[in-house]
Amino acid sequence: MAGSLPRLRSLVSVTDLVSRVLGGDPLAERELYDLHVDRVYRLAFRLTGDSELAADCTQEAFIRVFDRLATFRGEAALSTWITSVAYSVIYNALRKTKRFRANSVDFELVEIPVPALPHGEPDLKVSLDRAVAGLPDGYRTVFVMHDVEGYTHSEIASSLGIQEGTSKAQLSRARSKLRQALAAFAGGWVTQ
Amino acid sequence: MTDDRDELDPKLADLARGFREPPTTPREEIWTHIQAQRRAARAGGSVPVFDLEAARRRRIRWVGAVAALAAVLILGVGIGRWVSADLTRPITADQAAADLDRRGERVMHYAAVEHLGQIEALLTDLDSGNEREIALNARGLLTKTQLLLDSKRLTDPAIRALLTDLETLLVQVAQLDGNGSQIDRDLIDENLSNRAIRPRLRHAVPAGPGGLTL
Repeated sequence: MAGSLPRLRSLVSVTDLVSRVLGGDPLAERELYDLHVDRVYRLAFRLTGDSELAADCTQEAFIRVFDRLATFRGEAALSTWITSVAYSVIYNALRKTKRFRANSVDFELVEIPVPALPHGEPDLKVSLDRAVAGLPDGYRTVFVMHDVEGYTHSEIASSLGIQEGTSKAQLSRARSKLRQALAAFAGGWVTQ
Repeated sequence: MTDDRDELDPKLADLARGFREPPTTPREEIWTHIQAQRRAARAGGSVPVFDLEAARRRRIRWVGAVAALAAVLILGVGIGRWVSADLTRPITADQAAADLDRRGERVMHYAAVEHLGQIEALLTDLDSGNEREIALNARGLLTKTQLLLDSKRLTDPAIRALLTDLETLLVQVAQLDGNGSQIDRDLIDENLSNRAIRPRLRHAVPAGPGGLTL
């Protein structure tokens, strides 16, 4: 009961904010933007690895958000809805600029190169970044959203339009691939 | 298949959280572009769903179109004067192109000076006006400043340098939140004074109407 009151207040304030934006209130537009821009930009940057492309995606995502806000029915949280719009933009941008191919390598076919001196911390970080970047698209997206950005499986499922079970399975496979790729470092973390 | 069973080692998980650590979000820059695109869309042009290259060139094209339109008008007037003044003078294609370039630059110079006048007015309001309103106006002026800086036809180095300094200043003004933050105000004052912005603006903007002609 104690927890439901803040949630109700939050729901009312989101509904009010959306109504004000739809009513053409420029301050409300800015408020909505300020509330969500960091989350969108962070995701865009993590997935693209390019600050300019991330800024372009964020810009495009919010233009779409404002254009389509009338279609927001409140079935998911506003932040999740915005993430789904943003992800669609990011995905299209990656595909369109062909950075997808340049940045991602088919993990099933290619071995991840392991540095000669495996125990140094910087090498581990570099190898980990390379391994995450080399994950198949679906695995990488779920891994970045869940393990890096802290989204829940429910949020990921709603944002990407997949089942929660799929999100969990992809995360599990992503982690498994990372363990394999970093096995050469064989610290205490490799638990099969 | 639960998360707990699959969890990465804490050390590895911690390192993974640093994957492509994002820089600070360029909020104001993104917002001004959003505003500009939405205004353009409302004005009649439809904004493509996503075209990265177009997004980069959109600002430049917009300025180019305005400059081209103005150049055509001036060319019309100029041709009229030419024809009436000296029908026998021979004109080469190179001369005509050079004339067009010069006129394009003059149009852009005129637009820049007019814009500087608007910024001067905004800075005059800075001490007494409503902060939120001023911040909102600053965002619009910031977009126009960036559009002008994107134009190759704006060649006057003094005006370009002034616009570059004003871009930074306008970002600071655009971030005023209406709560009268002294820190923000101090930063703006410092910028105004260090860069001698007010005297440079007075120098660049001719006093009174008619001070600038094409």
